Amino acid sequence: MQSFADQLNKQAQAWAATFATALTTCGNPTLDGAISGVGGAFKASAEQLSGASTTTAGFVCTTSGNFSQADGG
Amino acid sequence: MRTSDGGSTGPLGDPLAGLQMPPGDPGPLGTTANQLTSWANDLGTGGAGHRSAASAVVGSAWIGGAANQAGKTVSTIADAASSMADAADHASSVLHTCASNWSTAIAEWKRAQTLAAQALQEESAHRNAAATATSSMTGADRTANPTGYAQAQAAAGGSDGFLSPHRAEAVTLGQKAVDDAIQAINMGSTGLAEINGVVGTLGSAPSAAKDSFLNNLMDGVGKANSVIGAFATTTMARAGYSYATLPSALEKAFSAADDATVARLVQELGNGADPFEVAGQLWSHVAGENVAKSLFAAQEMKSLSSGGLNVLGDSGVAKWGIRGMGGLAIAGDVFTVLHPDEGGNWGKAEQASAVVNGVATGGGLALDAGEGGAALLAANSLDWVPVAGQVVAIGTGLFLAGDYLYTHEKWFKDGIDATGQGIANVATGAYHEAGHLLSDIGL
Repeated sequence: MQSFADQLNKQAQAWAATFATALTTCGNPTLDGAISGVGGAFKASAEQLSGASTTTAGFVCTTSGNFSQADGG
Repeated sequence: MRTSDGGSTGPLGDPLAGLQMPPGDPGPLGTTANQLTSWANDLGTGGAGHRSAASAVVGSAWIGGAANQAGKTVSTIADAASSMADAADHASSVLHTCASNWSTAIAEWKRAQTLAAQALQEESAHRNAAATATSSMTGADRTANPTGYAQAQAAAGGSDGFLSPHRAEAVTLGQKAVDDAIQAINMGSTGLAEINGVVGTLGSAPSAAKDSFLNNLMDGVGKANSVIGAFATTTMARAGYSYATLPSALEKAFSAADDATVARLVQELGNGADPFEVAGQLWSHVAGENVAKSLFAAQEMKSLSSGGLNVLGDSGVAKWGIRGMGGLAIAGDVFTVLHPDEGGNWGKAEQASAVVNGVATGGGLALDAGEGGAALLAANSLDWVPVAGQVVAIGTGLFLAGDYLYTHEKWFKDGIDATGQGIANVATGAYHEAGHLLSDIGL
C-alpha cells in the first residue's frame, strides 16, 4: 500500500535529482547566468516540493490496483 | 594578408575593427534545450500520473474530506508540474530560437569577415599595383606626367582614397551580425528570466497546516490499512470482498469535524502534540455526534466471538478483535458511518466501518490476542501500528468478518435481517449501548 504522499515525495525527489543536473552552458555570461537561474529555479522548486511532501498529507492510497490485488481479484 | 606597407590590414585598417561579437558558442544551447525538453517530459509524465492516480479513486473508491483534500493537492501539484513542463518546453524553444538566431548571426559575421578580407586584399592589390607602376616610371615619365606620378605614389601609399566596395559591405554585415547576436542572446536570457517566475509554482503547490495534519492522521490509517490488507489477503480474499469503502468511511468521519476543531488540532500538532493523541481527539469529537451501538446484533456477535463459526479459517481473529477493543476500553466509542445511498439493513451496514476512538492510552495496547491475534501480530508486526490505526484495523476486521458471514451464512443473514431495525438506527445514538453489547456477549 502506497500513499499519495509517498508517491508525491518520490516524484518530488526524482524531479529534484533530475533538476540537480546542471544545464549545459554556452560561454556567454549573460545567457549562462539566465540558464543557471532557470536550472536553479527548477531545482529549488522540486526540492521545496520534496521537502513539503515529506510532511504533506499521507493520503491513503486507494488505487484500484492495490485493492484489487489485496482483494485477490 | 600582409602588405608592402608593413601591416596586415593596410593603412585603412580592418573593416571590422571596432566590432566585437559576443562571447560564447550557441552550439551547446541545443544540448541545453534538449535537457529542458527532457525535464518537461518528466514533469508532464509525473504530473499526469498523479492526476490519473487521484482521479481513479477520489470521488469514487475514496470519498470524504481527506480524499477531496488529496485530490485538490494532487491536482494543484499536477497543475504546477504541467505549468513547469510548459515553462521548460518554452525555455527549450527559447534556447532553440536563440541558438538558431545566434548561429545565423555568427554566419553573418563570418561572411562579413570574408568580405573584409576581400576588401583588404583588393585595397592591397591596388596599392601594390600603384607601387609597381611608380617604380616602373622613369625619370622622364615622372617629369612628363607629374600628376600621374603623384597619384601613383598616393595610391601606393594608400592615401589616394581608394576603398574596396567590399569594405562597406563587410562593415554593414558585421554590424548586423553583432546586433543580431546580441539580440538573440538578450532574447534568450530575457525569455529564461520570465520563465523563472513560473517555475516556482511547483514548490509552492502544497498547502501547509491542514495537509500536515492529514498526513499525521491518515498515516496511521494507511498503516492500519496495510494490516487490513494483509488480513484480507489471508482470510478474506476468498470472499471477494472489496474493502475500498473503509477509507471512505474514515473520511466521512474526518469530514464531520468542523474547521475550528481541525484548526485547533492542527495547532496542537504544531505545538508538538502526539499525532495520534490528536487523532484520538478528532475521533472523539466526531464520535460524540455519530455514535452507534454496533455493526452486529448481540446474538450474532456472541456466536462469532465464541469461535463456533470457522468461516474465517481462524475465528480467533474476530475474537481477538473484540477483546482488543475491550482491553483498550474504547468500545464505548464505537460508531459507524453509513453510506446514505445504500438501502436495506445489511446494505447499510455493509457500507459502514467500525471506527473507534483511538485515544492513546499511553500504556500501549493491552491485547488479549488469542490464537488468531497472535498469528496476526506475528504476520503483520503490529508493534509499529499506532493506536488509532490499530483500533481501526480491529474494528474493520470485525466488519469484514460480519460481511463474510452475511454473504455466506444464511443463518447469519437471517439474524441480521431480523435485527435490522437496530442496524438501521446505528447512526442515531445509543452511545452507551456499545459497552452493553460487549457485556452482553461476555467480554
